[in-house]
Amino acid sequence: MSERLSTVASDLVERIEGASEAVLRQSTGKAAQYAVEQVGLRHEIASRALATLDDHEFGESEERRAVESLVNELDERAWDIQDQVEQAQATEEQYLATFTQARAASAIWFALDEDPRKAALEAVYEAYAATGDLARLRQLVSENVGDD
Amino acid sequence: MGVGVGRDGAGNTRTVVGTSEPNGYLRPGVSLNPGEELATGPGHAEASILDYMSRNSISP
Repeated sequence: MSERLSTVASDLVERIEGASEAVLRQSTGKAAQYAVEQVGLRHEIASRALATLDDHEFGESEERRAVESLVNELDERAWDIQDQVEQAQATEEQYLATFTQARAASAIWFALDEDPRKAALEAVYEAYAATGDLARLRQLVSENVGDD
Repeated sequence: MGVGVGRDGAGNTRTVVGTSEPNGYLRPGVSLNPGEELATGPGHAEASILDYMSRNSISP
C-alpha cells in the first residue's frame, strides 16, 4: 500500500521519510497553518488546536478530539451542500469552500498525531487537498529539510 | 469512489481507482496498491474511471 501523498507527490514522501523528527514537526505545523490561512478557516476549535500544535503537545487531547468533531461537522455540511448543488440550490463554490475547510481542519488533526512521520505524510496531503498548492507545500517542506 | 478493471493493448490487466472529490482527494485510510492507477475528475467516479480508460486505451 502506498501513502496517499504519493499519488500527488512521491518526491515529498521521500523527503519526509528522510527527515528528522524535529524537521517533520516544523514542516507539518507550517503546512497545516498554511492550509488554515489559505481556506480562511476561522474557528475557535481550529485556533486552539493550532496553539496545541505550537506547544508541541502531540497525541490524544481534548483539542485534538474537538478538531476531529469539527472535521466531521464540516464534511457533513459539505456533503449536504453537494446534494443541494445537484438540485441547483447551492453553488459548486459553496461546496468547495466547505470541503477545503474540512481538509484544513483535517490537516491540523493529522499534524497532532503522536507519530511524526504519519503526521507529516497525512497533514501535508490534507493541506494539498485544501489548497491545491503543491508548489508552496514543497517549498515549506524543503525549507525545513534544508535545516537538517 | 469506485474501482474498475480493464485490459490494455499489451494484454496487461489494469486496475483504476476513481474518485470524484476535488483534487482527486482520497479519504483517510484509502490508498493505492502498487500498480493501481488513480482517475480523477468532476462528476461520478465511475465516469472518471471510464474516461481514464478511454484516454489510456484500456478496455473495461
